[in-house]
Formats: sequence, C-alpha cells, structure tokens
Amino acid sequence: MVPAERPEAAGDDLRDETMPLNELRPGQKAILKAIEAPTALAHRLMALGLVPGTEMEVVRTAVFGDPIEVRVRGFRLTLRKRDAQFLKVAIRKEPASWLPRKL
Amino acid sequence: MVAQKTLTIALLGNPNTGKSTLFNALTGLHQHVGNWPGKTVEKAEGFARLSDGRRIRIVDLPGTYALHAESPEERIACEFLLRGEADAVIVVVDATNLARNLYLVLQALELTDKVVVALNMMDEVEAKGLKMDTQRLRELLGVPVVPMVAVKGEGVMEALQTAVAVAEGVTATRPVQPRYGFLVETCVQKLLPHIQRVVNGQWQKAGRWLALRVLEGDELALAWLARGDGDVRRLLDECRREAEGFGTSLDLEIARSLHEHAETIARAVIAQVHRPTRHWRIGRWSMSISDWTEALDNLLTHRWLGIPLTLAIFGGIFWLTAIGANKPSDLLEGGVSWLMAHLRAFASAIGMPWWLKGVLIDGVVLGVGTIFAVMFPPMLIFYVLYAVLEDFGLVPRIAFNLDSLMQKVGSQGKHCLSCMVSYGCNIPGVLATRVIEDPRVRLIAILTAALNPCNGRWGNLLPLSLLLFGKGAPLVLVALIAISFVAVLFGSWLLSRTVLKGETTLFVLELPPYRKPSLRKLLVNTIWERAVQTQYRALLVAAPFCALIWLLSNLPTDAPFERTITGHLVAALHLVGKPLGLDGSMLTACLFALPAKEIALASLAITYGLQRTLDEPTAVLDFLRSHWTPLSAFTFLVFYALYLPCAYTFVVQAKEAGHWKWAVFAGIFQLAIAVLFTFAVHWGGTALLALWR
Repeated sequence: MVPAERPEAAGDDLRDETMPLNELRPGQKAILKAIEAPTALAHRLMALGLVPGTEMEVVRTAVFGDPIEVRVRGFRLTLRKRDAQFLKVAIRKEPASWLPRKL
Repeated sequence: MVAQKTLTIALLGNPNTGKSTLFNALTGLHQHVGNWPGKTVEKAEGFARLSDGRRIRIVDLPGTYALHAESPEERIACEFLLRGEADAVIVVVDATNLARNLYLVLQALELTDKVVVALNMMDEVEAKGLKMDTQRLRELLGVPVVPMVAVKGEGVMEALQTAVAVAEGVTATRPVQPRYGFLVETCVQKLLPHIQRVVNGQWQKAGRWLALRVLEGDELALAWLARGDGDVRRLLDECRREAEGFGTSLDLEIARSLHEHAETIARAVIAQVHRPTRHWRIGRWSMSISDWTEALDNLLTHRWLGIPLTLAIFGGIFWLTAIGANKPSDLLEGGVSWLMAHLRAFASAIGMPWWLKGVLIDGVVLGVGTIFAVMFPPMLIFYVLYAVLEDFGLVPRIAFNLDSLMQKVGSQGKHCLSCMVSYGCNIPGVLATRVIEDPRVRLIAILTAALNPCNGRWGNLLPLSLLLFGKGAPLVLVALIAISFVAVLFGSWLLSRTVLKGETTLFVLELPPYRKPSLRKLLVNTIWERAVQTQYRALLVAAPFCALIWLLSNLPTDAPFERTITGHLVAALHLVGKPLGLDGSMLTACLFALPAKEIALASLAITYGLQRTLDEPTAVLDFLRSHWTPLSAFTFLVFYALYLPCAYTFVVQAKEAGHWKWAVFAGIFQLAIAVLFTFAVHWGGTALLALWR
C-alpha cells in the first residue's frame, strides 16, 4: 500500500498505458507521448510545440462536444477530436499518498 | 550605391501577432486587422518612409508557425525568403507567448542573418507582471531586439530603422545557430555536400536549412533538390533508417530540439516580477485579463448558454443596425429629394435634352442617391459594431462552437463566421472567408456567403412581412432565417459532394485572449477603408444599372407601361415565374434590385407600373396588400431572400475566389438553390392549402 519512496524521475509517475487525447475530460492534464498522425498534420502540430514530453491540458469542449480546447505551452488552441485521437497521452497518477489515512 | 536602391524589408511572424498592425503602421495601407489568426493569406506590399525621406518596400508575409513549405502560406513565406528578395526580415513576436514564437525566430535565423526581432504586445507582458530582459534576449539570439506596442505605434519606427541598419550592414548580426542532437547533426553533415553541389553555392546559408527540411521530409525541399541529385533521396532514406534504429524520427527530433532551444531562451529572459496589474472592471468586480478570458469562454462555450448567447449578441448587433440606421437614412433620403428637385430645375433651365436629363438625373443620380441613402447608414453601423466584436476576439470562439455542425456538411467552423458577417453585409462576409486555410472549404464559403440575406434584404423583408402578415410577421421572419440557414447548409453539402469534393483537413485554431478594441483602428480602418470605400465601389458598380433601369422603364417615350421595355420584360418573365408561383413583376423587380438589394421595393413600384423612377415608393405597399395572396407573398420573400447578392458582391467573390468564372458559377448556383427552395415552398404551400380546404 505505501510506496517505499517517492518516484524520482519525471516520467516515472506516469501511468504506463497511453490514451488518445480526445478521451481526456476537461480539466485533466497529461503528457504527450507520441504523435501517430499523418505527416502533414504531425508537422503542423509539432510546429505548434506539440512534441512528446509536452504537458497538455484539455480546457473545455465546444457546445456540441467537438472540437476540444487544449492548453499547451501557455497558449490555447482547438483541435478536432478526429485529429486529437492521433495524439497519445499519458495521465499522471494521483499523487501517491504516503501519509496514513488518519492523522 | 546602397542608398540608391530601394530596400525591401519582409515581415514574418506567427498568425495573430500584430504583423498586419505593424504593416499598416509602417505603410499607412489598410490591411484588414482583427483579433483572429490568419488574415494575410497572400502577401501584401507597401512602402514606408524613413525620417530622412527614403522609401522602403515592406512585404507582409502570411502568418506561419514554422518555415517548412507545407501549407500554401508557409510556401509563400519560404520561397520569398529563399529567393533573397528581402534585404532584412523583421520577425514579429507575440511577447506574451515568447517560447512558441521563438521557434519561428530560430528557423528564420537558420535561413538568413539579416533578422530583427520585434517584440510586440510588450504592454500585455507588463500587465501580466512579467519582466522581459531584452538585452539578454539580444545576446542569446545574436540579432537586434526591439520592444514594441504596434497598436499604439510604439517602437514601430525603431523596428524599421533597426531593420534598415541591419540591411545596410551598419548593425552587424551574429545569429545563434540552433544545434540539434547528434543524430540530426550527423545526418545534416552527410547531406550538406550534396545539397551545396545542387544549389551551386548560391544559397550559402540556406544549405543547412535545406538539409534540415529534407530531413523533415519536406516534399517541396526535396523537389527543389531532386532535380539535380538523386543521391539526396538515397541519403535521406539512409538517415531515416538510422533514426528508426534509435526508435525516433528525424522530423520529431528536429522539432523537439528547436522547441527546447526556444524554451530555454524564453526561460532565461522572462521573469515574473509582480502580480498581474492590469484589470478589467465591471462595477465592483475586477479580474485580470486571463481570468476574464476564462470566465467569458466558460459562458460562451456553455452547453446550454453558449449558442443562445452568441445569437443574442448577433441579434443585438442587427437590431442596433436596423434601429440606428432609420433616422440617418430618412435624413439622407430627404437630402436626395432636395437635390433632385434642384437638379431637375437646373436641367430644365439650361435646356438639357429630355433623354440626357432622364438617364443622368432620374436614372443615375436618383438611383445612386437612393441606394446611398438606404445602404450607407446601416452598413456603417454594422461595420463598426462587427469590428468591435472582431477586435475583441469573439470570432474564433464562434468558429470553435460551430465547427462540428459545419463539419457535417463538408465545411468547418470558420465558415460560420462568414455566414454571421454575411447577415450584416455579404461583402465582408465573403472577405471573412480569408481565415479559412483550406482552399476547398474557403471556396465553399465564398460560394454560399450570399445565401445569407444581408441587411439590405432584411430592410425589405421586414416591412413587407409586417405589411402582408401583420401579427404573423415574426413567425415569417424566423421562417426566413431558418430557410436561409438550411439553404447554406444544403449548398455547402451539395458543393462538398460534387464540385468541391475533398477531405476536410486540419482544423487548428488559436484562441487568443480577449483584447480591448482599438479606437484608432476603428476610425481609420473600419470607417474609412472598409465602410466608405466599399460603399464607393458598390455605387460605382450600381450607377450604370440605374441608368439602364431608367432607360428600360421609359422607352419608348410616352408609351403606356405595358409597351415600355420593362413592360415587355415583365410579360416575358411572367411565363418563367409561373412554375415558381412568382409573377413577372416580382422577377423583374428582383432583376432591378441587382445593383443593391435595398431598392427592391422601389423596383416593385416600377415593375407594377406605379412609377417610372427609383423614387421613394409610396403607393406600392397598399397595392401589394390588395394584390398578393399570403402564399404568393411568402414565395416572393423566400426567393428574394435567397436569389442573388448585389452586383458588387460578385466582384468581390470573383476577386476572392481567384477567377471570374467562380463568380459566374456562384451566380448560377445561388439562383439554382433559390429556385429550388422557392419551388418547394410554392408547391408545398399550394398542396397544404388544398388539403386544408
């Protein structure tokens, strides 16, 4: 139950499995792990600063549920879910609690 | 010798960084500027004057995020810089977004030494409580850095003077050379000799840049090189395999290194020194701009409130336009009558022949005067109100909200913008399609823009509905709005499945923070450049039509109405209109309203034989009430709401689509849709009435 020690490396507290960006809920943050998009789209996204290792946050969805608004590197852009599904992200685990439940 | 030559300075930058604002400030030309990314699609040119009187050529390149040649706007920028046409480049940087903007700066430094960085929106940086060490930034980049607030004109001339000094070699630059990882650098070294051979020493500096683009898999860069050397492609494949061996790809490594470099620089020069200072206040509440943006966006994208709120804002704008234009239009019409009386008297006094007097005074002056009186006040009000919205930054939010709806008919969110603008006036509606990067979707938007009834058409739809339907008028108006929106959706759907087939491409839209509209821009740019100039050109197009209408309605001389050319036209079109439930007078009036939709009522007065000139119609309303059935009235309203835009809109459509053939196509297409909908309404209505009885 109680981890022996806090993970040191930045990537270690990520969940192993990745998920498409469009499956994040508004308010959730994740780290971009891979871009599996067609070349033109991938290049466009990379130019905007979406390279693996970048932190991304889904801010909100549009009125009809698509597109989504993403905060990345301090600015906000919109992505269609269709395009966002190519972006594989990993969510940070809940910070492991090393304190006993009751103080 | 250098002093004799006109220097060329290029402006480069991400979309929505104030590039167009800088361009306008430098040249005095009026590029369209708004708080939405992607307005300069083609490059624009102008001339600036230095304090010593020298003229400098300024080229505004389209906004790009990077310098590869993949999208059309990137290609224009790349090719221009590669050709070496620019003696220096000013890279306009949104200082509030330094890291991302530096990515483009670093790429520009790879391409040319003659770079000046203009740090725009420094006032917003300060408002955020940040401090920017420009001296340090200059050291880290190796090129001059000029702080700027382009909307206020601060730092604009300094940026130009610095660029001129760089172009002339007075200020030396030692640009930093971004370094990539071991993998990329070895690949560059492998490619470089081959590339130098192909480019034959002419792009000394660009060799490395080209090598990097080739490694990224840039097809255009490959095409440039492959002509001379097949080895390049072979080497590229070799390098790619090597990268795969390391479990990565070259394009990714290049982008990652450059972003890291950019971020390192940004971190070194920015420091948070105090809390955000500038606030917007409403009553007791005061919030920082970013909090405001957040709160407003939550409202505008709210599941239930978002759409009604947007509709309410636009409804408010149209309402203000209609209400506000009433009085000035009446005054102007009074002025036109006064002018007409004096001109007629003057013409009689000097013994002007009747036909010249007719064509010139009763045709052109009266027609143009009437159009001006009814068209200009609403246009001016609408343009100003819309410019405020646009500056404020509402426009990208609407595109964001409506994208999924428009996607279903083969279009995209930014198309909706054009629709909304078109409700005010079709001309800026067509211009608003410039934000759409995808040329296919942009064409769809241009071709369907005029299906949205503009303010001029509402100006006739409104009184006609009130007159003919009384209490039912609001219902009729709502039905007309719904029908026109369905027509746009149907038109887009049809186009995207026939003439303009294709994949919907990437929809990346930046949502900039809300900004306060600039008064200066509103006065100079919106009122003068957009409203006045558009009205002037529209009147120029309308003038010959007015002369023609007078001639048609008054020849042969002294003939009864049925014997005039207009009378014959009415009789002929009667047969055409019959299947649609329209009579010849309605169709002829629609034809006459082509120079400006506002004159439809006056045209009806002519085509029903009630008057011979485009005077203010008086008797026509009573006549129509007794003459039209509700169904024939509604059928006419539908046709009139959809059929064709005013003549000047065609000119703009041709210009924006790139070929006059598209304007012709637009005309046929819109007419076909109008006929289809009118047909459906007429026969559907007839059938319903028959059933009811």
